[in-house]
Amino acid sequence: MRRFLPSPGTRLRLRLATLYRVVLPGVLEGLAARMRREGRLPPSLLARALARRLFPGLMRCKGEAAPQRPSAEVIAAARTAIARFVPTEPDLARLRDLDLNGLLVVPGPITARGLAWRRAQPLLEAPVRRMILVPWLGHGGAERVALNAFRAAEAQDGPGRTLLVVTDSRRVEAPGWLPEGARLLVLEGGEGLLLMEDRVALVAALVQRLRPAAVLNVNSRAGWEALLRHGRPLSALTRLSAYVFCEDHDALGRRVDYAYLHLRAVLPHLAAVYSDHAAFLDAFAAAHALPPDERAKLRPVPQPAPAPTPPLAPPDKPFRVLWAGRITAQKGPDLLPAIARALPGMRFEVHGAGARDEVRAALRGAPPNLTLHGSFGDFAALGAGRHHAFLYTARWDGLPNVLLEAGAAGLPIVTSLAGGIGELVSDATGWPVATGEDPAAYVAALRALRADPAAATARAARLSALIAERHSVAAHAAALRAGSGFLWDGAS
Amino acid sequence: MSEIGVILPVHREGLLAEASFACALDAARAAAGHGIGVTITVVADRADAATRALLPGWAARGATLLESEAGDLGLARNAAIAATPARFIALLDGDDLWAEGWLTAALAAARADPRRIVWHPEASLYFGAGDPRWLLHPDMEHPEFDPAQLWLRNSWNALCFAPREIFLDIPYRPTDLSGGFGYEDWNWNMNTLRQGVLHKVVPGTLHLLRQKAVSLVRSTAAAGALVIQPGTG
Repeated sequence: MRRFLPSPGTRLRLRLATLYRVVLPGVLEGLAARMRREGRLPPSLLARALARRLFPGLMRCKGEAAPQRPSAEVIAAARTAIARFVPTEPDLARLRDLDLNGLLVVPGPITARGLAWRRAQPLLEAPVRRMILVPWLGHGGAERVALNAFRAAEAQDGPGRTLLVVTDSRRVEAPGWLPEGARLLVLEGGEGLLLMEDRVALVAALVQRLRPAAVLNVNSRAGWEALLRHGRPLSALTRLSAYVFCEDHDALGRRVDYAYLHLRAVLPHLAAVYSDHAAFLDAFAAAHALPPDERAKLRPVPQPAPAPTPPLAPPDKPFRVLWAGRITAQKGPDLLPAIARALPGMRFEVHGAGARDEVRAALRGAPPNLTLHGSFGDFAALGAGRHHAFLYTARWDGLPNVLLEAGAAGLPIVTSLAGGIGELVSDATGWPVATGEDPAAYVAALRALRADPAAATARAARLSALIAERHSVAAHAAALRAGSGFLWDGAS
Repeated sequence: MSEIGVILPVHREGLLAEASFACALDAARAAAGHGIGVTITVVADRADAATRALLPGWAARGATLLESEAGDLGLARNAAIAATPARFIALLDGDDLWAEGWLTAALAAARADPRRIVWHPEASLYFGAGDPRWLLHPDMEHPEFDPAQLWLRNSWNALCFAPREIFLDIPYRPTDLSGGFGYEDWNWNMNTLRQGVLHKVVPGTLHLLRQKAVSLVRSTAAAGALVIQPGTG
């Protein structure tokens, strides 16, 4: 048997060969996978990935253990074994030309995924009955929907049995929205290194580890991708459900909502698909000619609204119009300057925030009777009673919570008929605007509202009554509890 | 009863399996040189013709042959272990190789520590399709061992050495790839941990594992399979 004892020159050659044939291709493949999935590659990442691969001990994340290498004894055993088996194993012959010390070591230094999992452990000790996945915790409508489900689950199971998981980022801007003592897990892997594939793996591990009776996905990308990848086995371990809301479009107008991208593929694994209104579900069912069993999974859930408050009588002048929402193309804030210019006798109080460029572009040329107040956390803080009307200009939407809040506060409403809004606002309960892209239509509706205070009062009262009847806490919980849904406890 | 029963499942490895059998036979002869009795049990689980053609030659070289129609690696191992009266079981797969000294070193470690322990080599060197790489098996008694990580990735492959009663007490569960449940070795590792079994390494020992372009592990990953099955913890 020939022993393989490389000289110093040979060792350098082996190291270079290993770098070129194994290390670099491995790093580049890893980065390519990230580019495909994440769509972006910060320039620093290539250097960092290469450095971590070549010098695993040098760029450790906080909490990482020291990297391990095979012992000299094992390296020697490998050289002996390779020499022994090479006569019948051509696949081993390649290893003679490589530096065995330079090969990738698994598990290597603990990964961002492993760190995130380690950090999560204290929250996983107590049993979890239900789990809700959200991408982040901002001040959006989807977060409200998720927290409505969270409160309903806690009301049913008792506190501490429901785990809210922030899956896609560390963004938690609305912790105040959470009930006191709520179990909140933010997937966080240290230095922002968690890739989407890590987040998907963590979601799958959470379900396997906790075995909750039910999981509800509210716009979590990691949740949707886990359903795509592991939907069948996940559905055997827990009862899966998801919320969908409305079409969503990117800057080029392409549909990017999860209902469009993923729902058809994962529907067989879901027990229920919820929306805050019916029209979107009806359209999905029609578009795919869903068979009855799949159609029966699609269920609108009325979101609970605040208790109706008796409308205050604002001072007659000036006539104040309240607008509240995110400053983004979806909500149509760019229509506001034209509307305000056409109605100089009204004041437009605009509450909301968005990306700086988007805000500047949307409100360019706004007249002095339009005031942008910036972000808001809670509708109740906007002083609805000081306004005469609520204006809503969304181009696409579900059934926005802010309309329920404005209606419950007794405000007469002028609104587009995007998404499910028509299920709430009609000529009997407000001033719907069918042609939502036309500022003149909103101007006409606001003029009609101001011209007929009696009608404004009557329609607002009917809207408030409708909301109270349809959007109660009990109705919301009952919808989530119905057949095989998120809160169903029939035969779990 | 022999001291060590080597279990070698074969399926569709064809001529590759000869290298694994020859490796097991060499290890058995080396152990016999130290007065250690070793038997080799080959279980042919829905084996193809090319693999099956090797079996008569192996029987002539002393192997015990078993037939299995389970179509499941874990169940085939269970059947072979049940049919192999030995104090310790050493698992090998039909396309993998042990470096010299594995059986004797593992036996020495197992004899020296009577606790319920599954022994693994210090390292496995993966070769063949894809990039070569090391898998360093963690020792549960190492201060930095974190059992929670087993929920994210398998720490030990199947080629282990352990008292036979551990395998009888905790048999492999069947996999169900069409239902999305696989990784029989990962599942077994988790079950053994749950039942208080230790996993430790034998320092300085090595296995060589062949990576194939099409393999059970790759099919399992491509199927998006999970490791924890319904009805289990």
